[in-house]
Amino acid sequence: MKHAKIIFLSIISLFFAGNMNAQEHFMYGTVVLSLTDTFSPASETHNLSAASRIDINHELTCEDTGLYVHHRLEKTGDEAPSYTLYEAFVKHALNNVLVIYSGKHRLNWGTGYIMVPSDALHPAEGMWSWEQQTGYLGASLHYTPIHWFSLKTIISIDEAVKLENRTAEIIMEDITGGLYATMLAGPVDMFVSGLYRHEDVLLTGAGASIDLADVIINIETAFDFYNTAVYPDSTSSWGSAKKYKPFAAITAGAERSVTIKGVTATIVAEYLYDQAGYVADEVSSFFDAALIGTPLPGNAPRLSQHYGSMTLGFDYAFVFSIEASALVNLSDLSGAGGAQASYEFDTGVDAGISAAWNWGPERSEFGLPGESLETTISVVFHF
Amino acid sequence: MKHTITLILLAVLAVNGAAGQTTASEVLSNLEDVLYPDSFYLKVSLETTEGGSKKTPMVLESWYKEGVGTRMEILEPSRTRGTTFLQKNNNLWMYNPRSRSRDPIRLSPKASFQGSVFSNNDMGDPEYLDDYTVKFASNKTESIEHPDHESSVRALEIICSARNNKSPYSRIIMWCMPDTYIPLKMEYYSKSGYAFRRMVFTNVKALAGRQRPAVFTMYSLERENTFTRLEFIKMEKRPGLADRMFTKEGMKTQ
Repeated sequence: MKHAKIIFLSIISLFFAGNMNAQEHFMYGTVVLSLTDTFSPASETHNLSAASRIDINHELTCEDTGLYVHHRLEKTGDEAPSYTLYEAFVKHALNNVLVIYSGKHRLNWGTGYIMVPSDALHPAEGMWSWEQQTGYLGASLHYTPIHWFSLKTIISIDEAVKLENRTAEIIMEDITGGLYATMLAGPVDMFVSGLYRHEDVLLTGAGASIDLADVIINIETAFDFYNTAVYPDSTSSWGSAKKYKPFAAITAGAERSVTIKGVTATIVAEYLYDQAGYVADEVSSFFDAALIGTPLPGNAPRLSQHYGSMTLGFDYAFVFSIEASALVNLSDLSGAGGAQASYEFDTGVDAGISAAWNWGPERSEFGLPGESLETTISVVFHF
Repeated sequence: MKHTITLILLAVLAVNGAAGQTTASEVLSNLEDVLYPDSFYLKVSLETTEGGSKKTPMVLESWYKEGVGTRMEILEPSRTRGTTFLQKNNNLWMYNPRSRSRDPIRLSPKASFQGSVFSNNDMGDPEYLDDYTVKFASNKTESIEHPDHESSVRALEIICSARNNKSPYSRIIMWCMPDTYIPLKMEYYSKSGYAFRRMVFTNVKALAGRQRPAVFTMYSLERENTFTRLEFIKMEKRPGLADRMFTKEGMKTQ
């Protein structure tokens, strides 16, 4: 399977290379070579691994149609190479106000910085929205009658669906329909959204962002009417899913950026309240089960109802940058953090050093896998 | 009686004469027309010298539609290739295809544009009349030095004052040629009242159907030997640009 993906990568690249005479071909990306040391304080062990990665973006446009592909090939240590297709879609403008997208495509969604509770369309690679890079599989029609208003209608199919031996009725269970409308009114950028999948998803969302005295304020709220997460019941066993109860999630954040004598400093802070997250007793049951090896449900919600995140960055003249960020479960104060520094030592070549760590006791969300510190040095070639 | 009629005629002529004079707002409007057409495509190079040393040059394209906004995309250097900006009024978004979120994020228009001396707003908003009230300086004209002219040149001087706190500068003083309204220089003032940037317009040539300055050099008045030189590579009038280009989704795909 992996070989097939590598062949696909090669074919796509050849396709683009062979179409250099098309109206416009645009290709860019990065090659990253890195060396990572992973230190586990509990066992006092170090694990060293080398990795290489290539990210390629293609844009092939011709009149009203364009083909866009973003994919990655990665090799870590002795593992087999892995291939990820993030996006591969065709865009076609029917006229000045109607555009259709089809394929694997990532839509702009929500106003949150890293927490986007109204998004259940794009495949999640983890619990956190910033890990969602991959597009959904399907099609969308975008109607933009005027520059300050846009409406998208979306239809998506679960990528894992195998069409063999499926009836139309069952296939309907794998299809998600959605609407997403945006409006810009003065300094206020707003959206409303809705997603529905038969007996699985009914999620509505709304949000806004505004620039108040150079501080960008974001707020986003979502109501999940069809939460299928599994919760322990009163006897501390794992009960059935809670359905049809509307759970609210709200995220609010602020960003401020200032430039003084060539140095741009940026701070971003965000808070998330997720009503669907476990409360204290449920968290306790979760850890009781997890620590004695009881199989845990695959569709657990977040382990807390309260999270905070913060990012602080400095950039000097776009040559040297340093950034630190953290995500904290505000109930148990465990968290995950990272810091990175990057220096452009030659045109298109950066040297970087980064560290990522997680902290918290054994009975905490980010401490459960065991505390660790990852330190990486890397060279990044941009093309 | 004869004197009275003469006085009335002189008064009428004076009023008509005053009405026929160009107002400060008209000067600014004419100056804006010299700088850019109503709807255009532009390709520019941007080179910043920081403390005397040159940084990696940048090439970018922009599309502008009056009353709608500006969309900019970086072509060079490779490090930031594909990064797109969208400015609509005082709202600004940036989409960096290399970032993890792969969605546009909202930014402050006042922050530095990609490490240059230009602010994001300088690059994305070519209209001044909507953000500033304008009047002539007390002397109206002034002799100034300018690199395109061997001797000092007589220039119209207008003062633009911010309409509100959202305007990126508290005041901009502009000098332009009195007959052609070709801008010569502008000085930008902070809210605390000091001049911290100066732009000099040079290399006038035929672009998109008329004579326009092709090089804008923005000097930092806070840092020595620090300036950004913006040079037009190509400019075309583009009437009928679709509004959908100027949306967040339009930032990711042209």
